Amino acid sequence: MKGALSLAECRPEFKVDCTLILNNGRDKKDFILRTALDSVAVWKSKNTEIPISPFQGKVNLTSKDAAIIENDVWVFGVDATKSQDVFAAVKIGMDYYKAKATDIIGDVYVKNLNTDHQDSLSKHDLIIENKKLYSGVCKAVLEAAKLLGVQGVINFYVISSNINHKIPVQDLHAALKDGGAEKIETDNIQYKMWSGSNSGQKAVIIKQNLHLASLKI
Amino acid sequence: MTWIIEFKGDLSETSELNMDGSASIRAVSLVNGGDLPKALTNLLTYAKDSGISPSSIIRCEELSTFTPTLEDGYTSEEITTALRRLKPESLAEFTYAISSEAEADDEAIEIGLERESSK
Repeated sequence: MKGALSLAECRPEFKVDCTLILNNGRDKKDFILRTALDSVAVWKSKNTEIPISPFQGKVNLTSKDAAIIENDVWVFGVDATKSQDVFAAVKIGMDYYKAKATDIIGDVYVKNLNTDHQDSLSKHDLIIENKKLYSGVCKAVLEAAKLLGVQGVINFYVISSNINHKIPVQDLHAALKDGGAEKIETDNIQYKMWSGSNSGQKAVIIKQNLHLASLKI
Repeated sequence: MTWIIEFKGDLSETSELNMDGSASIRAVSLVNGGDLPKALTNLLTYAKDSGISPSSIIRCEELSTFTPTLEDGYTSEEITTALRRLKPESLAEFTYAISSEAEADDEAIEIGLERESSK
């Protein structure tokens, strides 16, 4: 059984294809754990037409709202820059899928992360904030993996255009290195896929690149 | 009244929808408006809120007399989905949108777009 973790999802229509690997390869996953920053109430208000089966995911003495959506487990209210949130989400996924931590957090995917404060920032400052965001997520994933007892290498996949004004490829790679990546690879394949705005209210088909950062514990 | 309007517009660098360095965007939208001038005003406002400056209208029809087709943005499913999101107080909703970078590249591999092309 092999799964994957997709962080900072918004609407199921734009969810990340977690089978993607470099050089247009595909790596089949048996299950996917997806997290959203929104609370379940906010998420439902944005996705009124999507049927969900909610449940409470319990981690030690705390709990998080979770749900089955289109056969995947989603955990809500997860700030991907906080290791405790990532840890809790993975624990909920482990319980549900009866899986080992490494089978979930071993392959992590994020797509077009973008700070919530975009409108108040200059282009230069937006790139700086987004670099902090990517490095913060890397650090949180590494810390959560340590807490979960995972050892070895985590494949941290990023879907982002090389010429994304919000974080061009050189800045993205610098952020991933700052977040702990030992090696970063970007292939020459171009992809077209849907990507949503931060609020998830609008989306557009854009051109993307796939990057793989190796996070070693 | 609701209108279905396809347009092209310039996309600002700072637009929340500009994630691939594109200069423009093409979108099909459902737009509220009691008459066409009002609908076009609503579309302009909706687009500008997203950093899009509409430059040309490609197609415009009243939805009540429109028959869905298999073209991107004009399928029955896309229209139904957008209609669910289009509230009476809404200005507009996209049924389809594609950046100029994506539209210009015929060789890029499509991921998750099957639902669009198979309709």
